[in-house]
Amino acid sequence: MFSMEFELVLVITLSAVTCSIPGAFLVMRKNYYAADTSTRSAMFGISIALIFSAFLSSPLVIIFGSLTAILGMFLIKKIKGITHFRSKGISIIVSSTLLCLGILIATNFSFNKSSEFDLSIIYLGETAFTYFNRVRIAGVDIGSYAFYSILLVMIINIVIVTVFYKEFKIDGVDKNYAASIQMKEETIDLLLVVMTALSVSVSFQTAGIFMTTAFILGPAAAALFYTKRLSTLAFVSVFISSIACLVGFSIAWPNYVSISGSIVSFIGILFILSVLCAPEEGIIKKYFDYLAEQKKLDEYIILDILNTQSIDNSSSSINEILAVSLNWKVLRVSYIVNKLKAEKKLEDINGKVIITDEGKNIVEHFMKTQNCFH
Amino acid sequence: MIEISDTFIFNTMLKSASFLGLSSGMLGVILSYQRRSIEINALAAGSFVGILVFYLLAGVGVYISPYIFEQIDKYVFSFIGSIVGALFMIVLLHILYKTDRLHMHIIQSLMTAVMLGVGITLITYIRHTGGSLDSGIDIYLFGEKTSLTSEEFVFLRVIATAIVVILLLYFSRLKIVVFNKDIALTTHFHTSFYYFLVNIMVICLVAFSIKIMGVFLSVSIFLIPAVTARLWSNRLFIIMITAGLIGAVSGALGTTVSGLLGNITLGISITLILAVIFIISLIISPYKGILGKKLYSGGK
Repeated sequence: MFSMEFELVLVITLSAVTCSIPGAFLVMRKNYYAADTSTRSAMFGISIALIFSAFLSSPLVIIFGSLTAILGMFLIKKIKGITHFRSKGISIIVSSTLLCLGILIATNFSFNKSSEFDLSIIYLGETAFTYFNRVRIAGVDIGSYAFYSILLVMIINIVIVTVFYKEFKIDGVDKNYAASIQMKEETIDLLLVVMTALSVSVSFQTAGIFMTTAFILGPAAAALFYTKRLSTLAFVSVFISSIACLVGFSIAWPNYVSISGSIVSFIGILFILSVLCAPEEGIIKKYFDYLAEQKKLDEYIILDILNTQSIDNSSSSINEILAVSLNWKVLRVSYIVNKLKAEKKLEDINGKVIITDEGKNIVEHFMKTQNCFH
Repeated sequence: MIEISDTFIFNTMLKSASFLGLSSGMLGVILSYQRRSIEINALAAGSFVGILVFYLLAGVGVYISPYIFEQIDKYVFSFIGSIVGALFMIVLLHILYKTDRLHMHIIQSLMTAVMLGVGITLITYIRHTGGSLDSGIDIYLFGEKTSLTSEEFVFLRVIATAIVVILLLYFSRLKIVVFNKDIALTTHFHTSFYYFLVNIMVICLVAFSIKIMGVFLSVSIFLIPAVTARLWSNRLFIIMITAGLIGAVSGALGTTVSGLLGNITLGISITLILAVIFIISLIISPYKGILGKKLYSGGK
């Protein structure tokens, strides 16, 4: 119908957007082990389903993959109820066991000789192969099979999110309030897990089961640094994932490298950049804020000393006296004192440095706000 | 079984898998109490990328000066690459932990997937350009029986023994650092030294374990023995010794199973045996297992 490039971009963008919708809620609810566990345990069901069918986007694969992903999450809750360990450790045991079983089945029983795939397509993914599996209605070619299956799951995700938006929001922000109005947390957990499992088992054919974790968590984790509202978080993460898909595809396609690999690398670069230099929450901004706060504190210390006691600076200059008593360097003290003089908080009268009324007001107001001094 | 156990490869692999299991099981207890267990996944993916980058650099080196670089074995490049990659990854992760907006587990699992993506992009690039890459890369995905060279066997045993000795020597200090950092900081010993010590030991072990266990499964030999040993005891020293023994036994059994049945890679067989040990001890362990709880609650 369309050109090959356009259809591939459409499929990979749809799968990234589908994954990033439940990812925004997972990141906000701090349900951090769900993505890893559901991707790794979906391998078991996918490899069982591939015994019976040779197509990667058949309904059997989606049903079996999401069933085993839900089974993994269920097992974690069950074992946690018995042992009371943290769920992260149990999730690693369950997910790696199911992954091993899946690989064993896939290497020994799945992939009968009529199909031309090898095992690596499950865990590494190949976007270009989705193009060759076409849907035909009365002999007319209307697009690839993967496009329709991903579109179906995306519609399911959007419907679930719009219907249960209020519950997700209340339960994610304040769990105590949610418990007090008798909201069932297990139902919301189950809904999120179903959404994640469906998205994983439908989009593993484009990105591979290990890189879907980045599709789920990456855009939402990057978007968390730019917004504080939940609805904006979901939209920004969808926007970031579609931008990453376009850029990654345009890098990968002319250079003959893996499409999903370059998209995931671009998501990683975006994530690291937004952690380091986001305008309000980034590490660098926080560090400079901290430095500015320290400088402000130094000014208050010197103002407070001059406010409470009068210093006789006839023998030596006031900078040296302050430097000796505070155990600071003279340069640092003189810099702060000169700055305060320029701001008219200190003044020089006959060679004696005295605090002005403005400085007095400021330091007394500051001391009142610090509760620890009273 | 008799004809397999006579071969040189099987003997050395058996020994090195049990040495790796012993040391990584003991180290995994400390890591799991520091809440850094998933970080091993990210480190393994990072060292996978490091190996690929050093393959590319080796190709560039041969292009510049063939006389020098063709004499160096390519396993040297892969070994240096795995250590440098893990080192880079641990530095990057500890920079990213400084943000207070995200939980560290999200950062770890996200960076794992991102590093795998970078690795797969590099693999396809190397395959397309037709560099010096041959079958050496598929080893790292799920582990291989014949992946270690004879120098690396010696290295692995020395490092594993050294890690066990260090863990036993510094045990009391490490216990304080892991459980209560504030007391460790106020009692005036070098807390950051012990952090660096743990980090260095992790990097050394990850560089070996991705060759034996594979990138995706190397976390299991660190973490599953620690969780299993937690079922049996409440004291840290006993947990540590039990975890080491479980790791060693499962390494030996896994090598045997993988040698008997030809089509199972080493990482998968070791992980499955660890899972079987976990399920058995979940059922029969006292106080915390299913049977033990029923017996101690007076048959309710």
